[in-house]
Amino acid sequence: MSDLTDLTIVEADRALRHGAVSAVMLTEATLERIEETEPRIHAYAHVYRREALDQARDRDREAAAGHWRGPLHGIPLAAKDLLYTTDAPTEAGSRAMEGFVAPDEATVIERLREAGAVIVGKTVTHELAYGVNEPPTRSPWGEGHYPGGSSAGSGAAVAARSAFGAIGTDSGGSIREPAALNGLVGMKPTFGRVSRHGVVPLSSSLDHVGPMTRTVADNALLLQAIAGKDPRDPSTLDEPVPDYLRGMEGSLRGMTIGVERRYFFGPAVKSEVRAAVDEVLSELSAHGADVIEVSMPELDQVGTVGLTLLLAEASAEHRGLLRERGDRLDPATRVMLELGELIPATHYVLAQRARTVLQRRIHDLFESHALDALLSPTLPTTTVPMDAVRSPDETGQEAMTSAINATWPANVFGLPALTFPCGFSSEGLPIGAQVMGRPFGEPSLYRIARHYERNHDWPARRPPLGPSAP
Amino acid sequence: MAYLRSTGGDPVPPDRIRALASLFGLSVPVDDFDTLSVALRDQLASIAQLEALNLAGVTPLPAFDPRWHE
Repeated sequence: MSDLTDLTIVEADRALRHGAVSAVMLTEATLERIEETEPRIHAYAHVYRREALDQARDRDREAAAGHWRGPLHGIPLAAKDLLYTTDAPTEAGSRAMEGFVAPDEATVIERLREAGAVIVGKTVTHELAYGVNEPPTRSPWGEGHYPGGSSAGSGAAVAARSAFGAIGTDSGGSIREPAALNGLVGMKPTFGRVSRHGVVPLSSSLDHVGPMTRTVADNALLLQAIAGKDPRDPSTLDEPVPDYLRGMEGSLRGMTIGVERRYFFGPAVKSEVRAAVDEVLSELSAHGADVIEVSMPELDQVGTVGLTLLLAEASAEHRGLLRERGDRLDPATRVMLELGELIPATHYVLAQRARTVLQRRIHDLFESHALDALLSPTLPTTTVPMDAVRSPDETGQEAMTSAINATWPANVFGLPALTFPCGFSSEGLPIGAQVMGRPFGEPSLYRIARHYERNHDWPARRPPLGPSAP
Repeated sequence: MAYLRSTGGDPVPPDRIRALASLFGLSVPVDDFDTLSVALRDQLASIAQLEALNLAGVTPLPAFDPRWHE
């Protein structure tokens, strides 16, 4: 094996079980890769060198005694610095939270540790996951390029092979945007599927926690480990957790995929992105899926509803922080928190009523066409140089304002949405496609994405950085 | 990630923001007023879009549940 960090989680698990590698070897290789890549991508807020190696030695001892915790046993992973860990501060990308050490660990961290994962560090996030300031992270795919956000470090780390997989959070697209920009698979699960206990909150009705990986199967393995009811998070739902790997390789025959072109393929979508996603649709159709055009004019209201909820909920959540440590917040984040304070309560209630109507409409859309998923570009563009992020796009808005169009709906509806790589631009930058499904329809999304993935080599492509790149 | 779409028109006057914020016990730094004035204008204007939906008689969800109840 030339470079252990090139292995997927599935491959690393197989190598561990065959004794070809050890958890310590995987962890050492990951820590070396972190040292190589961090000067350029700045993906990590905290690296747990000693703790990670201790965990890896424990996993190897268990393995030697014949005790395997499962497919994540000994696998080095990272988590966004929004998830509580007790072995290092949780600072949420904010000077206002500097030095905060959580009283207990996030349920997701606990579940990953129970599954045998080795947590190598916490990844950089936009401040409080709001996604409006400029963190130090850069995409490994382009010198000085935007990594996406707010799970910026998670996306950059997995793409750079400085973690085998990572956990992100998503309140309006914060898993899917960095996943798409970095050529990864990113799942925002159904609301209530994954516990948010021990996660610094942004928006109580929009926040989700989910996995970011290089392949669909790796993603399913991580979701399997973290999904399920949590008594410490009353928003989690007591729905059975299916075997996400089972059925992933099944046929697409009998599946119906909807395409809402007016909303998801608007003028902001670059021609290369449009062409790549159209090619995905053609391939899925050729492999047996029924691809149909659908219409939902009410999608135009999703952004207003989402933002009104986000502003009010985030400002309610961080009311004390704004007053007591507002001078330590980045001005861009502070303005959003101030703005949320000035929103009338009537607007928040109107947005909640509109959300009810929109939820009925999306239900009707799926039912009337027997849809399994809606497919679209995840983002209108590939990653761009940092100085172009604020430049106006074809619609006259900042490039990253249009970026949230396709990702907002899944948060407002609480529906699962998965982004997967679907090609590269002429500049060699990754393009992502998104499938949004029914409540708890994650298995259908994995099946669609896996069916597409197995005919392409996108997950094997490495970003052009670091001395160990071929 | 950016959220607000520019709607044009006059920003909310800073003195109104200052007065409103002070009612809520919030002291807004001088440097924030320009951005906040425009952002508040855009956010307040965007609510008019919801008039396209018929919200009469619709009850806001007391607790969000993504499941579809027939």
